[in-house]
Amino acid sequence: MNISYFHGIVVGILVVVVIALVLRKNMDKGKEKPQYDERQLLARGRAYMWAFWSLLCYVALLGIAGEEMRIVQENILAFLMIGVCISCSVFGIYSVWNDAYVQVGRNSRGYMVLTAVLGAMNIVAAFMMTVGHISHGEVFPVSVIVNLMLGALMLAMSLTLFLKYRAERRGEEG
Amino acid sequence: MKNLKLKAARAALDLSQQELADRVGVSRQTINSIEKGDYNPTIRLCIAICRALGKTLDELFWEEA
Repeated sequence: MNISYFHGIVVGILVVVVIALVLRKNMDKGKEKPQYDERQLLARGRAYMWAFWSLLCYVALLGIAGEEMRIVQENILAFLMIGVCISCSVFGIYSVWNDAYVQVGRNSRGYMVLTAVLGAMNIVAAFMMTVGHISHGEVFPVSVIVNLMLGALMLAMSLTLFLKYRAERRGEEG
Repeated sequence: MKNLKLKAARAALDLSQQELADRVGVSRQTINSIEKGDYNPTIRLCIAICRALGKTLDELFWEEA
């Protein structure tokens, strides 16, 4: 495995862990208690179910593809990360579509901007990595696909939030 | 089945879906789903809605045969 790719994964995981710890600390202080109502909890349960099944199907297909395709065998971590991205997106998009992603009394605009920025950052990173590899005479790296996939899924999430927000504003008492 | 009795009771108090949602601690979409008949609330939420609207469970949630 490419060492810079490995470093990228480690840094990514560390960032997520630090953010999770900060959020957890705030929750313990009672500042940021997540509050979903009963309908939202039910919808989020169904979202987790679909995310689980999508991950299961992806891993099964990846296992079958891995038997024959060398590209999968050589980049198994990248392909597994794509599965994680797909699964998280299934959860996010299903929750947004059923008004269960944003907590009671919160606005979705912040999430919309955050996902759009993260999506754009990943696509720019993928583009820069590709240009860097090609300028060094190397072939298109598979690890770029993870960033591309993450970027596309983040933008899809942002678009879903935007469509839901617009529908919400149109039919306030619908 | 649509819950028109809930909608009428809310309108009688001149409350919006958001105002009722704030009073019972749920999202506006949850009140909307109950009124449209897309979601069956738990007894706990039914009681909270009845208290907020000054009605009984029978008045708001009992379906006539």
